[in-house]
Amino acid sequence: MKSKILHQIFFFSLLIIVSGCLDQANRNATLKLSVDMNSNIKHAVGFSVQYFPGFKLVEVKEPYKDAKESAFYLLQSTPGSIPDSLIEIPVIKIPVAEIVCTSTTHIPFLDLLEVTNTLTGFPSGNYISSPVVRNMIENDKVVELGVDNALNIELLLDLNPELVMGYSLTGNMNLFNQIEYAGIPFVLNAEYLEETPLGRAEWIKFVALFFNKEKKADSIFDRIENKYMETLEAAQNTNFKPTVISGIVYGDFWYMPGGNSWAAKYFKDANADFLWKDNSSEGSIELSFESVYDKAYDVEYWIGAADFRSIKSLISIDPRYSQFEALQNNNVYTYNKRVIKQGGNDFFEQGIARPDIVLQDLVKILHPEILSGYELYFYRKLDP
Amino acid sequence: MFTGEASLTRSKLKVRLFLLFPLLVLILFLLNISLGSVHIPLSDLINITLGGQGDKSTWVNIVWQFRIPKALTAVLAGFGLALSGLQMQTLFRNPLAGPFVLGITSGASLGVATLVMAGSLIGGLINYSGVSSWLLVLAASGGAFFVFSLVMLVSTKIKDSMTLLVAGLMFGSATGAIVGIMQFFASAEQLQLYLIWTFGSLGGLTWEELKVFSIVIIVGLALVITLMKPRNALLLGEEYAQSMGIPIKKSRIFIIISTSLLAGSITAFCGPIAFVGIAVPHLTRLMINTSDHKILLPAVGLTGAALLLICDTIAQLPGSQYILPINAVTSLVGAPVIIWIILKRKNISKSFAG
Repeated sequence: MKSKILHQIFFFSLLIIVSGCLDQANRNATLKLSVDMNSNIKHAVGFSVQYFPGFKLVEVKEPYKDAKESAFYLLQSTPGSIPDSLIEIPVIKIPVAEIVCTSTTHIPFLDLLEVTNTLTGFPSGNYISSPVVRNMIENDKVVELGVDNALNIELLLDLNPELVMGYSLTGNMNLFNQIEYAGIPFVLNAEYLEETPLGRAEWIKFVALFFNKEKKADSIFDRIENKYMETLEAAQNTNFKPTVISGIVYGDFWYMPGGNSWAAKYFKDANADFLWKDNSSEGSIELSFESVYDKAYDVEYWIGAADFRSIKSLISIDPRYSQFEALQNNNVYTYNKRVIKQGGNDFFEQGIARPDIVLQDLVKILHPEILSGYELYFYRKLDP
Repeated sequence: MFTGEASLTRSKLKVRLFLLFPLLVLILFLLNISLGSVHIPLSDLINITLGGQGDKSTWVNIVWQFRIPKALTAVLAGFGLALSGLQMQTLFRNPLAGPFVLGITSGASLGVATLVMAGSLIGGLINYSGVSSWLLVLAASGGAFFVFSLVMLVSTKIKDSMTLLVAGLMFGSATGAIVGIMQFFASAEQLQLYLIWTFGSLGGLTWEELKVFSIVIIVGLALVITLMKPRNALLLGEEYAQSMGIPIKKSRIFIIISTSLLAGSITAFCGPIAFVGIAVPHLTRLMINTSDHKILLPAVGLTGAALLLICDTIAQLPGSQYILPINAVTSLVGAPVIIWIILKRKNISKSFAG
């Protein structure tokens, strides 16, 4: 009798927690109510997890840009243990043995956790750089599911994976509603909305939840974090703060990363003086060529010149580039060292999970005296 | 036409045309190069344009490498597009015809779309930043020429210009659909690159490209001038023109060729610049009430140049480091102009002497 009451109290409190969570008006209350069992999430702000006997309750706080409601997922490891009050929340049986991912940015997490062999399908697999997955594609172990923005639903149903890990940029749920209707569980991975490179990389802990690999994820992330902070501190301790620009001209516009963009954050951590750091945009900003030239003609480094391979080809497209000092001094770099012949670029794939390498690359370029012996991984210097 | 009064108006018109219009274009040209993201004082600007130095060394480059080529591009493109529009409106005797009714833009966009979006399908040879401007020009002209040839093929088979108009529109739809399919399968970067092209661009031409561009435009203009007489006759109807001894079919084909050359090369170098071709002939007729092409021709061309210079000056958002796509500005200026004309005139088909 006593234990029954205890149970009731337990479920009742759970009900409060969950109904609080589901009520978007009480979003602030949610944060208070959800006991943060996973206090080792240090940088990522987009997800949280609570552990219960037999299942984990995962919250993705902003499943897509400007989402008003959180998405909840119930990750069940032993059958039959779900309380009625959580019945509305989609259930995902874990550990997942067959997964379909829709973004190349999910792949490095699988690779690092050594669960890549669970990947059974992917749209536009040509863009994947991971050698493990490339090998699986060549051996027909990964099914090509059509193009990215229009997943082939019939092929997906035929494949019948245990989980689809997707993403939504706009909150358009048509595709996911179809997947859900077909009885295939899906989860929205919103790693791209994190505001810091380390926060984004920390989503390895999110992916790990589906494979019961939390411990592994923790130790991998700790290593990445340590290396990142170590490199950052070394860079900040130098007195030299070189000026940097980025981006390239398309049509009439110079597409410059905004002052709050990923590139700007990396430049700051690498102790560089990014000339558009005071801008407030998170994406790229469209500037006139002449305004960029006026402000940056004597810039020391130009880092991120799309996928150009040589200064010669840059100048052949627009001779006006040659007016920049960075170009005259051969100080132009871009992130295309690891582009595969099918067209994919590992910088946009592995680079998401390995901010430590990206930062080391930038520090090596901007403060070469610090990382002697280090060889650039994602970035390369443009040929003359 | 041969009365004293008429010739008086005509000479007045000529004065306006040969003094006021070029002066206007010159003033707008100077205004265009004096305004931009970077503020350059007028005294420095004059100094620099006369071959001297400015207060800051970068200003010389800004004026000579950025602003003057852009302003010259605007003049050439505006002139060419306006004349193409005039020719098409005359040929089809339709106020809504423009340089792009023959499917030239859609042809050019097909070429560019194939280059930037299907490039990876063809074998991964072309990555998006490797698309050089010359390659883009080639692709656009290739696509435009392809659709143009189809239209020509049809035009030799049919007698009626209206049928040709419909055929041109149909080719446009078909190519648009192919581009749509490519967009569907394209990656985000490819899509973006294509979209940027559709915004139009006047500032992308270097002196080297400008040389080629101006030669093509001049050849096109020369063709247009030689077609003065048949066009005047065509305004009165195809049958009338035939009765005047104008070889209709041949004239039609040459009008099509010259328009394609102008509109095709402008689209190749600057992207699809919207609305100038349709709006400018109407705007000009509003200012000088004549349908004689000897007068209309230079007037329309100069108005086109002036309008594109104005639009580009607005697009630069002088003083800010941001700029607007030229196409957005031409459409925003062009659409009210057309509406204004319709409201003012009640009926624009009067302009076609028909």
